[in-house]
Amino acid sequence: MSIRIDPAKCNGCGRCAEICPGNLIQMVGSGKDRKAQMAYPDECWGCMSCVKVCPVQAIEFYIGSDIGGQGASLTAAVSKKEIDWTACKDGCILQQIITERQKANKY
Amino acid sequence: METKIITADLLIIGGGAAGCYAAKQAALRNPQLKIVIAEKADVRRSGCLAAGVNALNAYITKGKTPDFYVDYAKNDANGIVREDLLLTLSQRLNQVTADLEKMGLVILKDENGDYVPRGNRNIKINGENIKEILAKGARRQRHVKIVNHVNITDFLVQDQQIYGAVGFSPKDQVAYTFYAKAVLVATGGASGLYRPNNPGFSKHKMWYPPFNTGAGYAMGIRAGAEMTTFEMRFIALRCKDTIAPTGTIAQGVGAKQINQLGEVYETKYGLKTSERVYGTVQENKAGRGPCYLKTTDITDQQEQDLYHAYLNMNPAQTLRWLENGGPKTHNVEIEGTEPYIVGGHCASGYWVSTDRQTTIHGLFAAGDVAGGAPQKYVTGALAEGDIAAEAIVAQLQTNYPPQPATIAQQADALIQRGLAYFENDPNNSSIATVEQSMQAVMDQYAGGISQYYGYTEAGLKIAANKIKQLQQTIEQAPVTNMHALMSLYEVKERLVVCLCVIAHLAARKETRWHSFAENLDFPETDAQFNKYVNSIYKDGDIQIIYRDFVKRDDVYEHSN
Ligand SMILES: Cc1cc2nc3c(=O)[nH]c(=O)nc-3n(C[C@H](O)[C@H](O)[C@H](O)COP(=O)(O)OP(=O)(O)OC[C@H]3O[C@@H](n4cnc5c(N)ncnc54)[C@H](O)[C@@H]3O)c2cc1C
Ligand code: SF4
Ligand code: SF4
Repeated sequence: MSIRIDPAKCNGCGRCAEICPGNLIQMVGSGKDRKAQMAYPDECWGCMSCVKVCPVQAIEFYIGSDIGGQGASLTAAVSKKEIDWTACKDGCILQQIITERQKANKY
Repeated sequence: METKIITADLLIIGGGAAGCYAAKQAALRNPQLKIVIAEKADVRRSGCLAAGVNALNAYITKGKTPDFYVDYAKNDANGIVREDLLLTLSQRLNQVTADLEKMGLVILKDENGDYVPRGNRNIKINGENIKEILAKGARRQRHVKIVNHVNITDFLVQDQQIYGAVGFSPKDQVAYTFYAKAVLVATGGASGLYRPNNPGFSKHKMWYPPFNTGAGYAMGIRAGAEMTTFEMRFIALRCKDTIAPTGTIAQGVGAKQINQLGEVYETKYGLKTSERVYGTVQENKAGRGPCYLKTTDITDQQEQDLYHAYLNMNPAQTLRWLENGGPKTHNVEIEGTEPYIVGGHCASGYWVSTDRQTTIHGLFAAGDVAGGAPQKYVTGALAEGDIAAEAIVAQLQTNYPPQPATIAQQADALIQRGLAYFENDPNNSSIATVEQSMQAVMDQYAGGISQYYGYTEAGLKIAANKIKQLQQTIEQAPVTNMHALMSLYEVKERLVVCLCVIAHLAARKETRWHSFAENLDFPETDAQFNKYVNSIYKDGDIQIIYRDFVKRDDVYEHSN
């Protein structure tokens, strides 16, 4: 279980590297080539702080095959009002779920 | 390496739930105080609350009293609690909750504007951003300075008085020395002591944050602070693989624990926190596992509601369902986790006075690092942060000793010690190897998952010897960058905590709680042990002290 960062999408803002509670993400390169890199994939807790803070959805979360993951991934687009979650597998959307940030859990 | 020196009136180590709230509350009480938070990661998403939480688990609901909460926690812990600590925090649960709402937390209300309870003690929220809210509360205070990305490794202590702490950046070539008149330790509990559920690639997919490595405990133990109840380990009952909480399913849709034969077994073993784990262990041992939460009879709407609820606190579980079939298709398999040391769920941590001062003068403790008060959860951690803040502000108005000249030398020596690790031979056993060995030793000889949490005195002796050997090995482990330096300190911390856990497990010669402390030599509860098991680290060994119960209305102060 870990995250993947898409270098083609990453704009090098560095927010994910700042926020990770385990200090697992590094910024590498400079100028236009500055990119985020997951430096310690097997130390990820799966908290999704990086996924949520990324302004361009360059980070996706996946469940490792050692605990039954089968290649699906989860991304999130966060706005003031809601978080737009998308689960994908093999390029197809499994489900999109919107959680409203001003709405409490039913449970 | 660059060295930064930062001076403050109050240093808060760990900007988690308790730390951030204590900073705000101390600043509000005395806006002139210079307060510094030293945080390992980034306060906006650090510690237990990074992913979000699903409910406030400690709240005095309508018609209930703080005494009701104390009774509940005491009963759940079979009597081994500090009632004075539980009472004082219970009295503040509702005021910190109201404050949280004012700060921006979304709490579910009914048509009369009352909070909607979940059972007797919980209320429903949207806890996805609770950490950001708490961080903002601290950041908004003018004299609170937040230093993110500094891993504190050692206290500066002389003659049982604290003067500050030192640490290193996990990213950049920077060492830090903090000098302060008072220090609050709020680094949370300790995970990663035992072999985890998923020891491979997903080894950090554990319940408790893998980045809370027991630094606060270890620094206190090494400095000679008294600790309490480290034998009361916390083992959580969790969803298999994702190690996501089960309470939201159990309480949300009323799912019962069943074995593979479909029999509801939870009533057979009792409903206390430890008994729920024990029941599942016993069913597995008897060949009636795996065990599940029975969810296949829920409605489509309930399934969608569960997806939403988990996205707000443990999104991996929702992804698991979307990928492999939801709870309506499959019952949710459950398992016990590896044991953690967590003062917010169990009673292990610093031995504190009623106002949360440790036995080191000027050093206070709050939240998961503080002992004696189980079931405190988020709101209890905030309440303790508030209690400590109040006591610290008062103490800072009185005299405090001037800093001895030797303290700066102590700081310098500790930083040099850290730098020296970069000289270790690159061919020595790696940090990861030592960590895995430690986890294997704890698992096999100190009651881990593979032993169904049981242990014997003979096994504990072996464990203690092996842990001491590993303490030598870790000193020689190669370090190539600042992240590795942090990892080395984390394993060092865990080894110290392990020694303390082993000594405490051996000292409680009874089984007070199934699973949490399953003493195979003494399988029954013994009234002789209606006492606290405390300890102090002296001359290289953990020395045990048995202490009598503190009463609910006592105001406990340290006698030394
Ligand atoms: C996954 C999970 C879910 C939970 N869900 C709920 C829930 O739904 N409801 C509820 O009421 N309670 C819940 N709890 C319990 C609650 O979150 C904790 O009791 C509470 O956060 C404890 O606060 P704390 O300040 O002691 O620890 P934390 O909030 O974890 O803060 C500790 C801080 O110290 C920092 N730190 C650690 N080591 C160092 C170091 N060496 N130097 C500097 N900083 C350091 C950490 O990065 C962290 O920021 C949950 C806990 C977990 C783990
Ligand atoms: S999911 Fe959490 S732990 Fe993993 S890399 Fe992202 S921020 Fe770090
Ligand atoms: S937050 Fe996103 S865009 Fe910014 S550095 Fe990280 S991956 Fe790149």
